[in-house]
Amino acid sequence: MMPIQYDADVIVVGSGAVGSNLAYELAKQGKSVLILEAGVWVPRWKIVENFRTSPRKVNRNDPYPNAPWAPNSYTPGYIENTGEFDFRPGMLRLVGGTTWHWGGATWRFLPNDMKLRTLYGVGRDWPLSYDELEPYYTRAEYNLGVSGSDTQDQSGQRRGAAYPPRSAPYPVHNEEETYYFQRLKERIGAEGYEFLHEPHVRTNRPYDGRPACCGNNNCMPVCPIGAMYSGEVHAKHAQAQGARVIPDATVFRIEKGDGGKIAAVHYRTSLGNDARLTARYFVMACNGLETPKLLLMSDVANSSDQVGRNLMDHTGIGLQFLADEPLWTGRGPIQQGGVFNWRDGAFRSEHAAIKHAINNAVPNQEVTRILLERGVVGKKLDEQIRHMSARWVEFSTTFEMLPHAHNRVQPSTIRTDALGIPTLKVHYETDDYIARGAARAREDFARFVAIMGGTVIEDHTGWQNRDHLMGTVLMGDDPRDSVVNHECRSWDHSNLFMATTGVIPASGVVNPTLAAIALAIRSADIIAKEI
Amino acid sequence: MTMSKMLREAWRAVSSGARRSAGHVAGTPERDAALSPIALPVDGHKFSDFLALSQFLTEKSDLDPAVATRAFLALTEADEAFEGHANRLLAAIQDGRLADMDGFDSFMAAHPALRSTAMRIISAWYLGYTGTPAPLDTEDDARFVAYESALMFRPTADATAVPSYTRGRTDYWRHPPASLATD
Repeated sequence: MMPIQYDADVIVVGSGAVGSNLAYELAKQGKSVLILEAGVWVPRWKIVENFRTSPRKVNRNDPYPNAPWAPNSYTPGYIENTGEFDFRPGMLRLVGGTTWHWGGATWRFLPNDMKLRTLYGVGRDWPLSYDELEPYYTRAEYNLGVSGSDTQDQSGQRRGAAYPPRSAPYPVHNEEETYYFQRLKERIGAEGYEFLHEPHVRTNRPYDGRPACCGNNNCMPVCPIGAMYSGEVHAKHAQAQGARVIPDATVFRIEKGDGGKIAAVHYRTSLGNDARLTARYFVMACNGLETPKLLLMSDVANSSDQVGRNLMDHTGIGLQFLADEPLWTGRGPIQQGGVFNWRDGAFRSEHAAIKHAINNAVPNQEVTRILLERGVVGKKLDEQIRHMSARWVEFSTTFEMLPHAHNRVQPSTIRTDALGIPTLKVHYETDDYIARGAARAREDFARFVAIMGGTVIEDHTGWQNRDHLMGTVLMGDDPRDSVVNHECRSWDHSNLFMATTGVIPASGVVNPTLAAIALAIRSADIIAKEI
Repeated sequence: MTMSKMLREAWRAVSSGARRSAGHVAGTPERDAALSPIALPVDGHKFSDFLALSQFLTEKSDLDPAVATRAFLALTEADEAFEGHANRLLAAIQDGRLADMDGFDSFMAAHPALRSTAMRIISAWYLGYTGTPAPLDTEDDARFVAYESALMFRPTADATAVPSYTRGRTDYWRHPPASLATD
């Protein structure tokens, strides 16, 4: 009998930060890897020029490709919402994925975040402990060149020492605090609020071919110099290690084979040509919406009926006000940290954990728009632009959402893209857990404004998208109510893994990409041993 | 006709510039020969009117003719009646009923129909776009006018960067701008 021939050892569907790190780790260990990407490969300079010549700077997807055969999430109708909330994350389709535009925040989840059900009686637990994940967090941080503080308690609970525990220092030390952050910390921090530096992927020294951040203040929609990490870094590294990146390849079917294994994936190009590729192992890494959609379209990995369910975002609210002194928001990177008193504590049995992130984007456009709406013109307009921009303060607050089976993503039954592939149908409702958290957060808002002698611009934003997609292929201990195990391996198909923030079953309040990359590196090690 | 002094000066500079080739306006920096003159897709006289009106409304004498072209086209594409409104606004100003922008509010109280036209022109120059950009959608009526030279950035040019065009170095943000005490 002839041995079975495969097109690759491993096929990774999706070239974003999570999939590309997994592909890189496998290629580095000598495995043959194919990365299939629905979008195209675009050089940074074109995206930067698209940004500069765009009339919609407020739209993070705008400088990026948006083809009928690979539409991004802001295409009208691409996400059909059936719930009360307009769930509309800014997801991209190009090599490197959505980390082309992100705040770059790379917090670690806390040990307690991963034991939410056990400790606080709500939501779910992760099926692995912080200690099991820790070595992979470190590897992920070194892959990404994370800049962070080695001395602060990142839980916000003032242990007086670095926390959570780490086996190695951050690869890049933390940058200087902006004057704006310093002043907010001095005044608001004096009233009992715990300010923390946010670990992030804007290196401040040359790192892995990337230059130091010099404060272009444009992390979203695009870093003009590539100081900020994006998934493209490891798509290139994977390629350099022998992996092959195939753009313009939208996977539309996962084919089941014998013995509960996955046999092949089928992709379609923009010209409408289809191809079938086989491999020993398959990894779905096409974000927390497209991954479950593809599984549901293929009737794969769903014996639990949990695929696409438990959709969570860190649904949030915002605050904008003018301080009574010039702080000069907008100098340096677009965010640096925030207020973390509500990151952990017994209150989590009652209401959501809270992160008050502080925005540091140059505010001129928003300020000028407001002034023009008020009819301010002439010399007063220029004076007021300077006055208000100097005093602008903005918080972007997020809440720990719980998993609910009714919050879900499915393939649309009424709409397809140009390739005939169903678009997305989403149902998403907020809950009382975050509503109680928001009530608490608004008390903080009132105090922040009072302490800073502020004038409110906006403090009733309503719920906002935060683009942190979790829960839709969640991991657990029980095949009856979870999609993957602690390895991120499908309970139903032993050669199928998920590499996406969608595996996260308890959301905490921190940006989930670093955790997904750490889990994906762990999955890569497991796969490599089995091949 | 009793044009205000500023409008009269703007008018003279722009008219001669537009007649030459529309490549130059008094007060603008010399442009690279390869970039100038710009080809105006609009009639030179109409363009002169628009640039003069823009200079008056923004109180800026150094507006870039290339940006003016984009602003004029964007506003005209969005509303084919725009040019007529702009002409009426210009005529009203030239009739001497508005000496300078300090009197804008009282002037507009007497001419409410002209306010939105004036604000659309000012807005295009300051924000660098026309229409209303959609934050979470790929379809809207927004049109590009300018970015780096959008007037909203001028008042803070010494303190903050036009995003993506930093002039600073790593960690420059530790210190406030030198102007802090007088801000």
